[in-house]
Amino acid sequence: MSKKILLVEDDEIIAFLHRHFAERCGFEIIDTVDNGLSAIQETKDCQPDAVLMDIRINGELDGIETALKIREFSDTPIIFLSGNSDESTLSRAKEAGSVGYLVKPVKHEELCAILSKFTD
Amino acid sequence: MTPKSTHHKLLQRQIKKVKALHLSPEDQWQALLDLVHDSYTTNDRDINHLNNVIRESSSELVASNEKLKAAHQELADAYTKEVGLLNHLIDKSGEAVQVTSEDGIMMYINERGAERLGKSPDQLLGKYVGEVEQMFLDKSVWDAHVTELREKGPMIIEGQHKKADGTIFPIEANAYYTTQGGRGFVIAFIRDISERKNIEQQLRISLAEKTTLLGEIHHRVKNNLTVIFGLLEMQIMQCDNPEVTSILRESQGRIQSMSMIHEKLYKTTHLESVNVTEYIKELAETIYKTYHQFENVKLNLINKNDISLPLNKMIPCGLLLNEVLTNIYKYAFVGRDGGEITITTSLEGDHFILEIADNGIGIDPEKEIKANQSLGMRLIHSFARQMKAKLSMINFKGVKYTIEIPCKQ
Repeated sequence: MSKKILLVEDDEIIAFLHRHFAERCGFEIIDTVDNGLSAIQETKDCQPDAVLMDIRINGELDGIETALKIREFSDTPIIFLSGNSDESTLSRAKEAGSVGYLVKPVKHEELCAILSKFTD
Repeated sequence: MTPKSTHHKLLQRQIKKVKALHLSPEDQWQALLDLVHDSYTTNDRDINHLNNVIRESSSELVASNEKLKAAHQELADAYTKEVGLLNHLIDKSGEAVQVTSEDGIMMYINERGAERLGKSPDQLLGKYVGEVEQMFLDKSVWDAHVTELREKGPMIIEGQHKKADGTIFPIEANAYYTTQGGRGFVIAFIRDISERKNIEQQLRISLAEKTTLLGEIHHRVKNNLTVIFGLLEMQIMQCDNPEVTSILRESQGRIQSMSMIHEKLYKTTHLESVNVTEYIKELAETIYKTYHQFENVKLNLINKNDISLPLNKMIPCGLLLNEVLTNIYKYAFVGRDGGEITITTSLEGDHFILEIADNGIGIDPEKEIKANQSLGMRLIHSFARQMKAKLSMINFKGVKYTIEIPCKQ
């Protein structure tokens, strides 16, 4: 049975590409949302095996703040996928309880490897 | 006994002379009478003369005194006029002028200063300076301020003044410490800087907006490059031809080199230049991961100085490094189990020196001309020209590229 992934990404094309990469590796993208509040609700409702989360997203909460809210009720692995690789962002992401961090642009092998690692 | 006058002494001498003549008593008496008469007549003349001299001198003195009185009045009038003008100028000056005693009591404030505070000078004199300047509400802050002025001399400080109606406005004071009659005073020329602060605030907002906008543009560019990278990735996933895959990967490398620059620009506060040494380290490590099949190839990064390059040189510099490293990974270690790549960055004068060396098989001299005509090498030369850089290549026990890039625009 395919592992269920929630994708949080505000850029439609990048969301499409990442969905494509993940699905080609055998994962099921249960939904794609573009903001923190929807991500929290979807995590509650669908209980995904992992959340693939961008940091710059629409709405009041950024990806890291969203992850902190999710951590209050769920242990689902959260993997950040961001254009930022600076020390302060990485450190904030770690403190938010994320398990992995990928810097865009990503190759499909990298994406699949990290998803497999944290959903097995 | 009172001292005798000269006239009296002279008369006594003449009486002595008459007595010495041994005249008859009648003649002697007559002679003495004549002598006394003459003496008094002479004395009256002298007195009259003296009186005349005194009268004349007195007139002169009275005239001089009148002149002096007139001159004094003239000076006094001029002084009053000058002081009046000075007071007027100080009162109507654009700046508040305030004199405060060492213990913080306001001794003088000009009309402008009082007017600005919505009070009259009389309402302020004798009050503690903290009633006007918020910073000095705490007396210890005023004491420290006086000590600093005394020790370091005049200084310009910013503060917050409180008006009679309770509103606060920003000020800038040019203050200095002085002594007069053994007492210490702080004299301050105070300017209302509300307008300047408003302009500064507007400039800050405008700058923040522009910085955000510029950052947003770099983010969008990076996103677009990410999309192109992803589209190539999709083609790689569908491609069975290793040669085509390799070409697509090289294109991805070039895109990634540019994408990393925009990421750095998005995060930097100095948008006109980027730390090139940090960028080269990250880019070299990213390319190294791309060619992960070369596990036995060691990457050495030696950074001798932290250097920033202007944006128009950063992108070709990154692309050049990408091409050189791609070439090295593709050709330098063919038939070898492993090797080393050393990237050294340093500053020589106003030139950034980038050296990329490998200890691989080197370029076969027979194939060197052909190698120089390859797309990768043509791109390397083109990027070097774009940066107005000097490029040299040594083909001995591996290949060493040295690129000397002028740091200025």
